[in-house]
Amino acid sequence: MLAAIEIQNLTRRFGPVVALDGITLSIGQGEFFSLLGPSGCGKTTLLRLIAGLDSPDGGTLLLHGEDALALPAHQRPVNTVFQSYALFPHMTVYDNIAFGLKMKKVSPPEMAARLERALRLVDIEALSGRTPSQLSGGQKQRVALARAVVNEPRVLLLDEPLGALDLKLRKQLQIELRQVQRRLGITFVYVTHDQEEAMVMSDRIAVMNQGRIEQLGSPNEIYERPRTRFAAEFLGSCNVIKTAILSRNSASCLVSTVWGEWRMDSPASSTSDLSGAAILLTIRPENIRFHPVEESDNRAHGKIISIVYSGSQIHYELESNGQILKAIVLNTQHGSKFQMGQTVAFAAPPAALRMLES
Amino acid sequence: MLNKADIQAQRARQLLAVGPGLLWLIIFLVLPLLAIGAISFFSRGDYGQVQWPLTFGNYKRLAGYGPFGFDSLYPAVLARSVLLGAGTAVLCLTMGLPLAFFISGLSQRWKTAALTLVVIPFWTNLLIRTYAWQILFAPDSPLSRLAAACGLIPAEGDLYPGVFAVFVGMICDYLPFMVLPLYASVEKLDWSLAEAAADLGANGINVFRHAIFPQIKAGLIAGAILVFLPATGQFVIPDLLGGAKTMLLGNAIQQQFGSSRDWPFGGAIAMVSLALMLAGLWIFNRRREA
Repeated sequence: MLAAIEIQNLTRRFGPVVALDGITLSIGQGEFFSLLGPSGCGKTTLLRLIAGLDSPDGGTLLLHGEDALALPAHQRPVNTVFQSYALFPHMTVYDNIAFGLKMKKVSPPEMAARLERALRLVDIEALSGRTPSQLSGGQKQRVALARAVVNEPRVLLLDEPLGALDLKLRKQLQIELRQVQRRLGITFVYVTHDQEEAMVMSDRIAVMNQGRIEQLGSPNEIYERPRTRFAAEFLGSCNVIKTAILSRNSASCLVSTVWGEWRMDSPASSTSDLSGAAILLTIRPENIRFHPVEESDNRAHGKIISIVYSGSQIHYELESNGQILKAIVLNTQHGSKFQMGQTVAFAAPPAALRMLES
Repeated sequence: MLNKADIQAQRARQLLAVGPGLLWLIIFLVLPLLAIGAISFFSRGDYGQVQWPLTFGNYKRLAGYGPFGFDSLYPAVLARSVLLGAGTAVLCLTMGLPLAFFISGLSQRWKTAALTLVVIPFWTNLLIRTYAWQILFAPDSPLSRLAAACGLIPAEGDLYPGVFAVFVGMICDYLPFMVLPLYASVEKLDWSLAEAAADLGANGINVFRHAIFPQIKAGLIAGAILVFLPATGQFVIPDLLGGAKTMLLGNAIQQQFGSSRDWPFGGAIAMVSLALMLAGLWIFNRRREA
């Protein structure tokens, strides 16, 4: 199937600053695709290039197989939901949503039908006579979404659309947005700096840093098999451990750590023999296991130096041989509960250790 | 909750604060205006004194009732003045709008410099500026020769006196009044609305019409008022650059109160010009609210 968006080597510089450093990316039709990264990583710049609100310094952009860079913004088959919503303050909600259809000179009966569908889709029929200043943040967000989807674009671009809303509303709208996307089958390109939001909603995520894509994959892939330290630390929290490879075979790998020799599953993709090389390992806090049996691999002792209680979970920090490790345990009746300063045994299961690219 | 005494004390303080200004306005604006309004219904005596009987004659004369049927002199004065004001406002707008966008797009340092250049004419006396144009537009001046060489005016002709010179002088005087409010509103423009409009399929013209114009409308109307009202009453520039052949509201009033010694008729012209400007203001304000 033809990709909805095909980007080759897209580059954008602002003076000496390289905002996008040769992005290559393919987004499938009907996909919910997120661009995730800290502010300044280039994700919004990429979105604006796709929308035609900015021009690249190099590279190509195809929308459904057609060169889009030649088209000005108003002729591209995409619509945008802006971070600030950018609703027209002098128009009613109805006129705001009708704007795109009026510009395209859609016939009045069809316009009325599509407007009604859009208003119903985001459940704002009762607000159609109001002006944007009379709306709450969540309502504005819905109007902005309706104003974009009413045009039935094949690609919808969303620039941190939930960024200005409070947590509870954000969670609710995350679900609604995902439902709308499934129902309409539109390709969504969603810019966010919120890793949890990206994971909850996306089919695939591109983790961006300094104008490049650090890692691209499903939420599951990126979380469980982060390739770089940046990706590992940006999605969720993690422990990073300095090691050197001692030996490896096809199944497992021996590394030296501050706790002695640890065993881990061999990385599947490594091509070169990294023996002796200094590398970084990562392990997610929830994978640190307490009360390991005597003979388990990668066993060590540590002292509890911090306890944060967050209801369903307890977050510990332990200090062990000069290294600080984060650990999370579920707060259940039979879960591990420790005191400050207590010395505990823990283990890092070989399957949970990941090698990071340097 | 404030009690009654507090409220009264507050009112007294407020009155004390606005009192001097209010008194000034009453003595030097409202009362003279009422007096002029009253005078305009009296008659002129043989020696220029204001005397009985009360009459609408002054207003009739202004509307074109002459001793020998319709006399277009004064209706033409009114029309000419309104045209001068409206023409100046339109010209200032067409020149000021691109200028405001241009200045707003400059870097901070150049912005300050450009705004200073815009207001510099304020620092020079109006008469000096206007006489300077007389010299620049004189028959032998380089500008006149250039215009003649381009075939814009007949050879050996001049750019002054004439309508062109008048409007150059008017624009020179009134452009800052248009540019400054326009610039203030352009500076506050929310460009994301323009982007949203383009994203929704609006071409350049529609982006301006639907996303930019509504945002600068208030500044545009403020500028139009600031130019139109004083330009309508302006007569020094048309006199000096137009050849002192045409009568406008300003010099008509001056003439009646001065050499003609016809205060009642002068009062009538003043009241009508005031009414015209108030009507203009009302129309502009209605547009602003719309």
